[in-house]
Amino acid sequence: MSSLFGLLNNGATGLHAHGFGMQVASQNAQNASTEGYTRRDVRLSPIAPPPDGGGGVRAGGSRRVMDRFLERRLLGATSSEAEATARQGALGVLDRVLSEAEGGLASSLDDFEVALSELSGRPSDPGTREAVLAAAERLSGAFAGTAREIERTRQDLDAQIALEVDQVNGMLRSIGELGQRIQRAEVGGQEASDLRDRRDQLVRDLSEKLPVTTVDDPDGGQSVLLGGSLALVTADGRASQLDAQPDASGRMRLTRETAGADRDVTALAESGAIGGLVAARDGALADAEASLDQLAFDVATAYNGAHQAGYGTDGLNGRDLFAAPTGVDGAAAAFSVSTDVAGRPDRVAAAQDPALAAGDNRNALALAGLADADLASGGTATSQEALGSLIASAGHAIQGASRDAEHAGAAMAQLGALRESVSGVSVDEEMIALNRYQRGYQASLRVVQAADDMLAELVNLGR
Amino acid sequence: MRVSDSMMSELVQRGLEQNRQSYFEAQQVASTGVRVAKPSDDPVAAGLSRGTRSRERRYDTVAKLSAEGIERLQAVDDTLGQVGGVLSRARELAVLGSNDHLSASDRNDLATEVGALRQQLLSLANTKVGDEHVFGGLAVDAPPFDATGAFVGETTLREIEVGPGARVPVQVSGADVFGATGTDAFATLDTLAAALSADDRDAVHATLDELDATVAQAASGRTAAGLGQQRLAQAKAAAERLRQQAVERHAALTEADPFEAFSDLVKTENALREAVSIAARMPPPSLLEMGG
Repeated sequence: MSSLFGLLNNGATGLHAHGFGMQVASQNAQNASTEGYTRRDVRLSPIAPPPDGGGGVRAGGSRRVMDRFLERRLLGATSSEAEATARQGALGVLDRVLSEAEGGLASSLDDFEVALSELSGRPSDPGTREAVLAAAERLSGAFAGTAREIERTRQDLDAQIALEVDQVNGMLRSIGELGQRIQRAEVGGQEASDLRDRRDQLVRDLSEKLPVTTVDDPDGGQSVLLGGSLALVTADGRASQLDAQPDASGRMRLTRETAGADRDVTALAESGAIGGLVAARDGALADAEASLDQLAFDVATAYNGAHQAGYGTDGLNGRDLFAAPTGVDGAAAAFSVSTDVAGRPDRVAAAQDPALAAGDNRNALALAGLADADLASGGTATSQEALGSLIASAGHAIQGASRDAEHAGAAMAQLGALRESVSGVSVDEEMIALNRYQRGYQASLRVVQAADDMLAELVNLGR
Repeated sequence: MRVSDSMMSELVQRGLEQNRQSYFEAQQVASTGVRVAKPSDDPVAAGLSRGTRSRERRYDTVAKLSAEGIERLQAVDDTLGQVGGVLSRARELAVLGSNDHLSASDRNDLATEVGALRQQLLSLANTKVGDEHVFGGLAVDAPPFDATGAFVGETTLREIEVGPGARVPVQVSGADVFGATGTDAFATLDTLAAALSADDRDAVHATLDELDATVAQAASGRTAAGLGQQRLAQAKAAAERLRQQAVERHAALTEADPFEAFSDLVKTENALREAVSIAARMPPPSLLEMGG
């Protein structure tokens, strides 16, 4: 009798185990498109026959199928791609402001040089003098506009960094809380797969913002480190908060409070979107701004020098053509036509001799000749060459960012495919598993039915 | 390798995205004909094209200023032609006045005509092109010769730059033509008129050499104007040639080769077509289809 009841029990374990298997296969199939979902497998194990046990099968829960090493590499690749993409996006402004478009810096510099050449041919023509001032105004507008646009972009990046830091802090809190929940949920030995999936997805999202690595704790906790050294979340789920604070020059720095003092941790953010934003802001954009300032300073200084030497038709000299720059920093943004000559074409100093001020073009020739003079880059390049070099450097920086993004994207795709290959759901596989568990369920049902029939036979025997 | 469903759909999606982007880029190049529209398209070409664009504009200006210079010197040449005519007529009158058979009254009439020629010469010497006196050098805003015929202009001539360090004058020296630095045409005419009025045949005859010199001066002026025009025409032609070279260089740097652009467009279009037909076959055959 006991063996027949044992058989019934045996069948019941099969029903339960295969039912659970179907449930897991079904969950896998339904989450085939869920981002961050890691497929589960069912741990079935035989139950030892009497006297050690009742026989049958035991479903020891489900567990996520994953490759920890791959997951770690994927975090790094995600940060790299996010960094390059953010950098590429941030540098796009340079493509716009340094293109050859009408009214841009390049065409305005051409117009200005041409206007001075024309002045050397028609020094007494009021229209030509007006044209020089108009071209100088356009050049000023182009210098100031370009500098403003770059600076505005840098400020936007600062604001974006602050927003990203807010998001990061929210993620860090959630990762810490999930760690604590996982630790509590796994006390019984069952893997809290859904919670772990959510935490892993959050860490992946976090790696899009900052370069993070994780260290797993045996009890389900997970430390999250910034740049491989600074703990942002500890194994027991305590999350630090980052802060974005402006430095002396107003640029946002990434800080974390340590022992009551704010520590600048910007250098640790080498990748991730925040790293990309910082790299663009302090790299190519800062370089472009500095080169532009230098060029503006050199142009204003050289043309002012030549202009001061000449005389307007009023017979006076010593006037600047452009507002004298106070220094290299900010020279482009402050570039403007000097108030001495603005709106006064008669004061454009085309003449070398005040007595011949009306028709003397010799100073205009000197001014026009500056187009060929090595007045920029420490006296090694013409203004056009310096601008060409600025354009080429900016182009290289954007192209570099775009190539980095492409390479990082390809690496991401490859690692993503590898991860999917391990952890992704194949609906066909799940269909087969469903089929298999269904068969197992049917077999277990048959066992129960057989045991039931046998018991009935036994009971009828006594009648 | 184990293949999940997401892998297949991501692969198709990625392929589609990449091919669409390539097609879009090829389409942009083919439709605009521009290969380098922004610095990142080709940083080296974008940097170099700054120089070619700037040269193109500047050679254009040189050609324009040379053309204006030629026009100005042509006007000077025309004026000097008239000056030559006036001085030749004065010489004819001097020859006529040297004739023994002329009466004092005849010579007086001739003197009147010489006086009129002098006025005409002064007017020609103070000719303006546009708003500028052309024979006063850099002093363009005042008549270079006063009523007495004295030169009050400037001997330094206006030059334009036709290339780095290469300058060509766009004026002819009034001092040279009318004799402030050689034989003074006005003084010569004054002497002739005075001799005719005084009925002094010998004195009239004596002016012939000086008149010859003034005619020669006017002719030299025309030669100078002609040479200037010639140099400017050469400079203009050179500037136009160099401008064309800069335009071609700029095009080579920044414009797309039409055949290459079209070929790229066709290639990327085919690739996109392939990607679309692969995407259209999604989802791939699956056990799910066997369920029914």
